[in-house]
Parts: sequence; structure tokens; C-alpha cells
Amino acid sequence: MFFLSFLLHVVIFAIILKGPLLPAMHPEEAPVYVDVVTMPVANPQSGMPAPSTSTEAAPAAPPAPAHKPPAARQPEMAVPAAKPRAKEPAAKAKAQPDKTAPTPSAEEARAFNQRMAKLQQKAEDQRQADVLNRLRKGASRTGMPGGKGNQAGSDYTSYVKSRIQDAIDSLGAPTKASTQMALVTITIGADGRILDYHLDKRSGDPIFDDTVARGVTLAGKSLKPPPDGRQYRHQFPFKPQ
Amino acid sequence: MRKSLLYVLLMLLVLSTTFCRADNSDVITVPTSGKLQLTIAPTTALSGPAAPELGQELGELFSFDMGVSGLFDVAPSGTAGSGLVLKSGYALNGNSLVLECRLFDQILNRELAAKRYSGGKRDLRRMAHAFSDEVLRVLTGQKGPFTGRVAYVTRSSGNKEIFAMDYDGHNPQRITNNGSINLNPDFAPSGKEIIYTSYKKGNPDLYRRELFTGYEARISARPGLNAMGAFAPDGKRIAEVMTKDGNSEIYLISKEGRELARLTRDPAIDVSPAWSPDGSKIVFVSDRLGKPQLFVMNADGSNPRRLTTAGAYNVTPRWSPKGDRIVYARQGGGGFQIYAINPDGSGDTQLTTAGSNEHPRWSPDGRFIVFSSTRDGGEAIYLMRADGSGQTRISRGKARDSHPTWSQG
Repeated sequence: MFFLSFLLHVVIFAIILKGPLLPAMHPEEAPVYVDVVTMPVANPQSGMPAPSTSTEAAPAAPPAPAHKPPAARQPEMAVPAAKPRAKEPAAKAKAQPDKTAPTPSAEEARAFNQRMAKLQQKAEDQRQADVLNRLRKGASRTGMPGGKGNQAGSDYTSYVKSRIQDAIDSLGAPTKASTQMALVTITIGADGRILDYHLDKRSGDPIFDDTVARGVTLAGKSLKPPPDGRQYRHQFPFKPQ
Repeated sequence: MRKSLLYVLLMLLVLSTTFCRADNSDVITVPTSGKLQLTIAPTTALSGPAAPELGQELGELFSFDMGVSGLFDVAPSGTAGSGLVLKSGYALNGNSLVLECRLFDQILNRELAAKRYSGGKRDLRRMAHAFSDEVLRVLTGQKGPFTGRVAYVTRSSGNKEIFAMDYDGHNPQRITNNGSINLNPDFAPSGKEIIYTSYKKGNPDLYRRELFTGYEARISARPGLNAMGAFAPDGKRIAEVMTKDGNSEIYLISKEGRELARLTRDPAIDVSPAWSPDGSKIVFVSDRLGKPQLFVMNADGSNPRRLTTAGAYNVTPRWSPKGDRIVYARQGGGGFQIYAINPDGSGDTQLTTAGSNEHPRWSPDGRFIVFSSTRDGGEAIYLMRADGSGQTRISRGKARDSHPTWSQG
């Protein structure tokens, strides 16, 4: 009886913890970062600052080291650096003809403005440095290990899914109403080629299953290699829309 | 103790369903409204003399078959496609013909079907229809119905005679030639025999005819009506309507004509029997509640129940070969329209709207329905998919054609 009671308590505790009885106060799923501008890519940034714009523009961008932080430079997506506002009053002061000698109060005001501008600049520099440090430490969840840091996106699975979805959308399948979900395991080699396609669960409609195979084959013609240089294997469910 | 164990098991079941919820984050959706891209390559001469007219006829035939199926977007010949390609070649030697057909998947880089047919030049259309059947079998797992024949009643000779044609209206051939009234043809499941009612001896009697030998037998000649014969799925029994007992009732006879059972006993009119594909039930028309409605009974006549509740005049039902739908004609608005309903009475759906449409019959695979329609003026045979789409005229003559029925290929 003690064992039964213990088991029941464990079960009820697990249901309360995991089940739909309580609202999801602590969602366990990893946050998904959605880049609304860029579609998922094969090699998203790994938490390293992107190279400078001029480097990126080159046809072959040098790979950013995964473990060694590069020299601190302005990230591509960083907020533009604050302009040295301290110069503005100086410029204005230069532009104005010095008709009268500066009064002590005017000099104090100018000095005050310069000090404020320096403080603002320092605060901005500190903020950028903090961001870079966080990226170097890998604190950000964006990107994945092995990424070159020059592309935005979520992860390789999202990238593969996106490419297959695009290919299948261009095909279509006149399927039966009774068609079920199909499960397919895809293996992608280090060079980005599809090594294996395995239909784990048939949908019940050969046209649907063939369309899935065609879509995967079409997508496989232009897949980028997995970012970590290893073989990638994943099971995708395919559902009639 | 037992209750506790039961409770624990129940909780474990709940727990497992809680934890085993499928992760749908990677689900890829496949649009089901699209069609397969198909290119029909120009027919080539494999050997012997070139016959461009054969190539043109093949191209038109494949385009029609594939288009009617509703599965394909058929690209014009010569168009570079990125889907399926249907290739064909022929070798003509006098009147003998060899036809080679292949279906190729350009994306998967795979040959899906390859067939070689030998015969006479006049067999060209049958060979090509056979390959169309094969294409559907390869892609859907179910053979196409294109080699089947459609028997129908025509007034082309002035009388009501029975003819049979290819499903696309080609090759019409006479089956009866008695100068009388011939009605209600129905194929045996094998497609080798046909039954029909004829007045050629004065009384409306039921006849059975072997199509290849021409042998004919009068299998039901009781006093009064012997009509609307319907072969059972086993091909050995026939349900038919007789009035020998003073009232229109449904009887069961053997295909040789021996009476086996009387299935209905009601003072009302009971007509138009049609079998469920497993042979366990019969749908029929009865006015026992005042107006002609569809009823379903067991094959032994027991447990009749009303099927249709809408419409005041529902007639000529036919059960689909898949068993999931019953098609029938409903009178209204000055004519008939074709409807389909589930065997449990749900899903009653109108399939036609133009003209007056009657006598619906299923193709052997349940993909299509043939029917007669007056939409173009005279009565002609039409074809549509099971959902009512793709309505196409198939009979080509100017005579009045009606009562179609589609045989197994």
C-alpha cells in the first residue's frame, strides 16, 4: 500500500507539473527566435559578432573562429554609434562670429556640454562592450555552434524544413480525404547531399507519399551543408493541408 | 487492492498521453489542392513506317484520359516539365501494331511504369486506355476504369437498341438488333455478360447475353413486368422487379432465371434494386410512404429502412463500388438532378445543375459517374467525377442516348 500511495503521489505530482492542469507558468520549450526579415538559413550566427560590412561584402568571408573572440569591432546589426555631440556646440561656436569675448557663464556651459557628451559616449561604448561580451560568452540563444556568425536564422532543422516546405508548395498533391500524416527520416551528409530518405510511416495515399519524396528530392538539390560539418539526421512529419 | 491497481493503471494511461503528445514543431504541410504535373511526349516510331496519325490519336487519347482523371495538369506536348512524363512509341508492320508506353518521374529520376502491347492496328485505343489504367494504378494504387465499356440505350436506329462504346465515346458497337424496345442494361461483374429487358416477344422479359459469343437466353419471362435486373457482386444472382403477383415487387433469381426469393412484400410500388458492393444490402425505390423514396434493406429482404428524407421524388439509386456513397436522381424544378448520399443518410449532395440528368451509374473503380443529360438539347451520355466535377459529354451521336452502365475492363 505504501508503494501504491507513493506511486500515486508521484503520478499526480507529475501530472500537475507536466500536464495541462496548470497553465504553462514555466514553459520548457526553448525560445524560438524568429527573424522576420531573413528566412531560416543553414549556418546561422553562433553568438559571435559578425565581421565588418566590408569583410562581409567579399565573396568568401573568412570564417569566424568559434572559440576565439575576434577583435572588438562594430557589429553589423549594432545600433549606430552615437555621434560625438560634444562637437556640435563647438561647431556652432565656430560658426558664430566671435563678436564679443566669451563670458565666464558661456564657457561654463560649453564645458558642461562637453562633459555631458563624453559621459554619453562612455555610456554608449560601455553598452556596446557589454553586448559584445555577452555574445562572446555565448550567452545568447541565437545561432548554433559552428555557425559563421554572418547569417541570421534559427537552426538547421528550421532551415531544412523551410526548404522542403517551399519545394512541396510548388508541387501539390491531389490526395484523398482520408490521407493520414506521413513520417519521413532524412539523412543529410556533411556536403549537404541527401544520403538517405526513409518513409517511416505511410500516409495511406501513394500520391501523397510520392509528393513528399519529390519535395524532399527537389529541396535536396540546393541544401547547404550542416553547420557543424557532421551528418544530419531528422524525422519530419508531413501532413495534408 | 484491485481498485487501487486499476486506478494506478488509469493514472499511468493519463500520464502517458500527457507526456507523449506529438511535437508538431517540425510538421511540413502538403497542399492537397494541387495536381500532378504531367507532360505527354510526342509519340515516336520505334521501327517500321511512320504513322503520324497514330501519334496524334495517342496524344489526344492520353490527354483525355489523364485530364478526366482530375489528377494531372497536362502540359502540352514538347513542354519541358518538372514532373511526370508519359512517353510512347509504336512499331507498325502491316496491320500488326506494337505499342510501348512508359511513365517517368523526372524529379525522382525513376521509371514508374513500362508496358508493351501487341495487337492489331485497330486495337490502338484499347492498348492506350490499358496504359492509362496502369498509370492510375501505379500512382494511386487502384487501377483506372478506362478499358471498361459503357453500354447504353440509343435511338440511333429509330428503336430503343442497346449499344456499347469505349468510355470516351469511341468504337460504338451494337448489342441488340431486334427493332423493339430494349431497356435497363446491366453488366455482370466480370464484364463478359449483360442483362437487359426487351419487348421483342411482346412482354417485357429479362434477357442475358454473353458479349463475346453472342449467346442469349431469356431468363425471366413471368407474366407482367420482368425488368430492372441488377447483378449481385458475386455474379451468380440477379435482383429484378416483377409484377407477376399483381404488384411491383423485388425478387431474387439466379443468373439462369430460377426464382430464389421474394425480397419485398408491400402493397406499394418497389422498384430499382441495386446491391451494396459486399452483397449484404440492397437499396431500392418505394412509394410505401406516399412518394418515391430510397430505402435500404438486407439482401434477404429484412429490415427495410428509409434512406432519403429530402426531395419528393427520388429514383434510380446505385451503390458505389467503394460502398461509401449512393448516387440517385431526384425530380425537381421541371427535371431530374443527380445527388449522392452516404448509406447512413448523411451527406446528401447535389452533383448536377444543368439540364435534366438521370440514370447515374458508377465506374467500376468508383472514381466516376456516367449519366444521361439533356443539357445540350438532345439526351446524351455524360461523365463526371464522383464529387460532381469535370462533367464531360462522351456520347458522340445525335441520337437520344440514355441508361448508361459501365463495365469492368
